[in-house]
Amino acid sequence: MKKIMHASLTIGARKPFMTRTEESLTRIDMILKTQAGQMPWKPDFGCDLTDLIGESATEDRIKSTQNEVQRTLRKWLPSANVLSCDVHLITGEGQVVNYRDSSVPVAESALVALGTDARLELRLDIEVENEVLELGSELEI
Amino acid sequence: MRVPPPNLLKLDKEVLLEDLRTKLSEKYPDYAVPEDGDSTDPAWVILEQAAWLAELLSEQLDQYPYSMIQEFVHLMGGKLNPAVPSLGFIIANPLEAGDITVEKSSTSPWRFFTLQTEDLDIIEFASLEPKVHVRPSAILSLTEVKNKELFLVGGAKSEAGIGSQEAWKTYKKQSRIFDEEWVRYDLTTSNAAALIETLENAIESLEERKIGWLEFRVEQVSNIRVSVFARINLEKSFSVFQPTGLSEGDVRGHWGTLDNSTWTPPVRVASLPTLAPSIRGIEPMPGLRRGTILIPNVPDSFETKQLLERKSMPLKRDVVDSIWETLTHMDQKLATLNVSVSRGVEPSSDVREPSWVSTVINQELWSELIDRTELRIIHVQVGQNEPTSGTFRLSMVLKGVSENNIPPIRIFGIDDNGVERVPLRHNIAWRLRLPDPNAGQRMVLVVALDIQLTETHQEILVVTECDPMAVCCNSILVGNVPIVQDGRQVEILRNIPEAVNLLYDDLVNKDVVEHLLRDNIPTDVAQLLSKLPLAYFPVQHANTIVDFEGVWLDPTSTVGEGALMRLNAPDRDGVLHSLRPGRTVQLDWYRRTDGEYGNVARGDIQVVEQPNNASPNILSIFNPLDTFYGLGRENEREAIDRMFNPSGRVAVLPTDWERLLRVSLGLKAREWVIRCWSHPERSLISHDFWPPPSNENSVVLRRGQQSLVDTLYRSGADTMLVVVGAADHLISDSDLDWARGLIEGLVRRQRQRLPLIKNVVVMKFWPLVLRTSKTETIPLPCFDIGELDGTLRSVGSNQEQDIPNKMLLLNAAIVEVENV
Repeated sequence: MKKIMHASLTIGARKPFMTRTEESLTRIDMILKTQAGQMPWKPDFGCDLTDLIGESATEDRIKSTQNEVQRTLRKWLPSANVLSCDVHLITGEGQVVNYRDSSVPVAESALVALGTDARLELRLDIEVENEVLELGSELEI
Repeated sequence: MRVPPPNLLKLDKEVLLEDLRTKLSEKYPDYAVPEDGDSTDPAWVILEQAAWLAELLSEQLDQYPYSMIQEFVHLMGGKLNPAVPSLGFIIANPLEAGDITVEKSSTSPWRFFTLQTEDLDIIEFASLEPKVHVRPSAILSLTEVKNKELFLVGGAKSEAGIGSQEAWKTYKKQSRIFDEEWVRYDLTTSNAAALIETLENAIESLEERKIGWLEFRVEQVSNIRVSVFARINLEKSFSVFQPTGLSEGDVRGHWGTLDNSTWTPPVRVASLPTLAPSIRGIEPMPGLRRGTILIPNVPDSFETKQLLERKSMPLKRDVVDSIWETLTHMDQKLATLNVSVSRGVEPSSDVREPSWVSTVINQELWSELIDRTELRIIHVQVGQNEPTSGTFRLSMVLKGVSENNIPPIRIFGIDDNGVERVPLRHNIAWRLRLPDPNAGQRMVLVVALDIQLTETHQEILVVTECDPMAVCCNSILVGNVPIVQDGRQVEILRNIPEAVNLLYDDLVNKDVVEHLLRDNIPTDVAQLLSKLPLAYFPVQHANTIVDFEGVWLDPTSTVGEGALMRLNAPDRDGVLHSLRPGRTVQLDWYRRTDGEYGNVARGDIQVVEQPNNASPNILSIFNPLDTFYGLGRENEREAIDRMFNPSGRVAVLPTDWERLLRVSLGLKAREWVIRCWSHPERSLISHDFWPPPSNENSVVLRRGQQSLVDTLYRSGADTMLVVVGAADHLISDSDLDWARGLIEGLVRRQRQRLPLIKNVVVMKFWPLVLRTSKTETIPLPCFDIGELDGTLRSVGSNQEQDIPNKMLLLNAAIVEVENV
């Protein structure tokens, strides 16, 4: 694959190319952060995780997310070899304030203590041109 | 007229991207073929998006009704190109001196026509100059001095009439005028008879010295004055060895020198067919004895008087002195006499020989006039029966000369006292490029000069380094813009625009002049054209309408008969000449053109029409060159092609320009560096020009360049800087002029389609050598000097310079690196 330049205006002889690692990160970032359909001239480009919004984070769903990430990376970054791809559910349990206001009913207060949102964390081992990269990212959905 | 509908056009995204790939791959070969990484390359994604947008927009544009697009294009100024008049020049043979004038309010009495032929009607031409002074004149001779020898190169076509106003360089023949050169020594005495005897004895003694080539003649002018004539007689040197005047094998001759001089006449063997080819044109060999010459292999019975010919150059001043000095050595009595020397040449029977030589050598002006190795001398008679002062118009047809780089011209007046030493004042009236009469690839340049004469001047000598193909007197710039005397009266009835159809289809207004000026027309002719009076419509009780100012005119209108004019409607600049109802407009006169039919051949313009009392009275006219630049009105198909067709050659980016220029400049500029700097490139980054101001020679070197730099800083985003030149040496001024002409032409053509770049500044490229201790390689040529260490010097120069404390050099780049 061709090298990618930094997004900066340069004149003359210097050609500020990104390093291999930076370049791979940029490419993976682009794929994962683009939703399918966002580029009207290439509607299938991107990683479609919109199905997860508002759904409960069951094992099956997490598994299907993992498959989707793997599939899109293989499709749009065929030169890269995905060694492992783990998707974990991160809840807010233990990180929220346990204080209960007297006006809040006990049941609701217990739910709040479990955390009001959950996020997915992605851990990826990927081999790009004989270089293994380990990267972790939160999936923004 | 509005532009008719074009074929619908959709720009396809894939086609656009494919085109983009080919362009990108020149600079970044990685982009030549599609690859998997393209979808995740941010740069390529942006390009894909732009192509997609272009496709979307073009698709949407096709959906609009065409009438809407037509109106839109019309509003933006898109319309059919009008017919454009041709330009040329004529020479006039006037009866008396006077001014040919063109005034704003009245029509010129002189009209110039071609003859009617089977194919064409008469085509009329009119003077474009506000005032030209013409006077009876004649070209007397056209000569060239090359390596100090005088050559005849042409003469007037005839001795009188219109032919005497025009001379072409047609042949090259050595002048024989100096064969009859004489030197006269005038002596005053109380006893003429005794002096003659002394002189004759001295001459006889000198004969014994066997100089050979020198001949004397003594003449008694009066009782107290005696003249001694000396001349070079080559035949005489053979008289002792070949007393019969006929050769017998090798020819020998006496060839002595004068006292205190080593000079002998510069001669060569004549190039005659009867002589052996091996000796034609050679210099004679020295003979066995001192003071003799030998010419071998001369056929028997060859006349020795034809054997040698003198190189056509006059005697030097010190030789003239040596001749007298040698004579006085024969008899010391002569040394006490006061002698006055006069010189000249006998008038030649050949009318082509120049008549100015005698005056010039007698005034000892030869070396002052002939101060270059190559010069052309034009001798023109300008005197007349009733002497008048004023200007004299002379034009020269030059080939291979840039209009900005005309070699120096000196003009000397000749009056009753001889040649004036101070050159006459002159200025360039106009310059115009016209087709080469010898069908060359490049056009010739006509340069018209106005020379200031006084009443006493009879003749002039034009001495120039230019090499004119032709010289013409009384040249007048003309164009195919004849006046139409309409004479109708239009009464304004309403306050709304009043349409009037004029009598002809192709009229000339400012718009037409602007179209004409898009061609390669020098600034002085452009100025004359923009000041040319175009129309005159007096209005009753109101200001006159001049040059269609304040009225709407479409010279390409096809509504009704003739071009359409609307009174009470604003012109293209938005100026309105409002006319109240009841006013009467007199359509006095305006100008029309015949378009491409105005391009007539040499000699076609030969009829002049003038009133009986016209002064000056023009006897005859003639156009020495074809007229050019005339163009017919654009047809609808051409307009569609021009405005709507996709064009792969529209230059937008500096790299597009560089590619276009490289193709245009062709083989000559194959190895050149061509760099275009757009406005953002040069205005956003700190830069400098080479040579830097600290350089001692820079005052001279930057002199020509500084005005270009100033122009560049005064101009805006529509001006591009182009730097051209060889990578291994600094190109010459003439090469730069050649490139500038081509580049400006290209910009002009591109401007018609997409006026992003309207002007161009063309500079020389300076190749530089970097001397540095760093071993890091840099791509060459390198304009970027931001991070370099070391010193710079121009290729071919030894002067090392510090690197300017800037980011970029605009007109110079490093082409070589020397590691120290």
